Amino acid sequence: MVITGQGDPPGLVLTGTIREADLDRLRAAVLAMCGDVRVDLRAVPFVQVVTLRTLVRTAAELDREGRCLVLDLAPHHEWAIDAIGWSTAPGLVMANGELPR
Amino acid sequence: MNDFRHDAAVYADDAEFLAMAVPFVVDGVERGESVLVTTTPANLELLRDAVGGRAEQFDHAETAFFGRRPAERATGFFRYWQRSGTSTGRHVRVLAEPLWAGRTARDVRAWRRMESGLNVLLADTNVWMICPYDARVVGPDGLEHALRTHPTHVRGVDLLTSPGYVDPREYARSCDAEPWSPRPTDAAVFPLHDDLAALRRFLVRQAVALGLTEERAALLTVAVGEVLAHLRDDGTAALWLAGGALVCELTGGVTVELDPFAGFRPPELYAGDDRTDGLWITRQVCEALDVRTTDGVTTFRLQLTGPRSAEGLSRR
Repeated sequence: MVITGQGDPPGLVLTGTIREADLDRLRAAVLAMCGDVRVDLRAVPFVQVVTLRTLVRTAAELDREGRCLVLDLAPHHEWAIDAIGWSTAPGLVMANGELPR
Repeated sequence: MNDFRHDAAVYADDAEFLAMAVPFVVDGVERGESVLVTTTPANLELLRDAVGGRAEQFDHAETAFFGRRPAERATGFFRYWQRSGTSTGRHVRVLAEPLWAGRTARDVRAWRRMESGLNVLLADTNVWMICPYDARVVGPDGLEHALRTHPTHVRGVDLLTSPGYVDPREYARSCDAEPWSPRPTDAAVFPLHDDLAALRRFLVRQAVALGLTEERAALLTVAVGEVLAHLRDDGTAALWLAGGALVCELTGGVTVELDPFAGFRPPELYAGDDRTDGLWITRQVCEALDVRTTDGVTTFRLQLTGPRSAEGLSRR
């Protein structure tokens, strides 16, 4: 997994393969950002539930600080997070993957 | 909680159905318990007529539309329980009669396997489920399996132990012993040890070449992604069409031994099995997901609605 920081809007772009061993690093990288955090996973070939769970839990942590996590997913992964029932979780905003960055 | 109860109920006519269903539903309603009835339209009408003023006090679903596939059905039960409250001292009552008529042998096996799996999947809930079996529709073989997949059965309001009840995981193993048709020699194959972006491109390219839309091909990659979490990269991916479906086979060594009922319960945010519940997504995308292990090599077969399926057209 490669995490690339982005300044405007503030966020992270993820590429490569996200493994279970990467998830603590991902959570820490999100929490280390200031304000609302946009996370772009559109270039990740396979986004697994274990990764989505980490991001949704991290969104809840941001929410407790009055912040939110804007999740930029490909439409099929948006379908997955919605099917599970997490798309309206606290602190999580779905970016639809089509909105201008 | 561990207050799950799972009874079969064989009935031979309308009167026997009502002798079991009416007290189950009315008693639940009078206790203030949530009650769901999912059965045939004819039985729903019978029951409503019989319970009079209670007819609008229970939840209902025509059974053909409460979970089209076994994994959807199990999810429906679990979510009904979650929605209905999990307070102690009460049950969440479910009268659940699956559709058995017109199914293939493979379908019947998958539905029976799920019925058995409910004993594991709902074990930590307070659901009390009665599964009616219409002896006019289900043959002797089906009635025998009802007692193998339900630890108890009821006649009217009498509770009896099912003598032939089989441990669910043992039952699943017997279902999974059915031989598969071999992979066609002309199936497109790709090694898993290549980079994952290349694997994804292969899956989409082949699925589209076989007739799937780009959107369906993308959903295939979601289903495959969860399987990859359990496979080492020493195997292959293969795609072909068979029986009106797109089949995607993934094979290799597994990173962890899978429970036969993995993926039947939706993932939970702060509970559940992080290692295997992603397979729930695979089961939601697929018509069927079968897993077999032989000589240390595990094979996942994902079956998706094929390109010529017209089922969705009526909804557009």
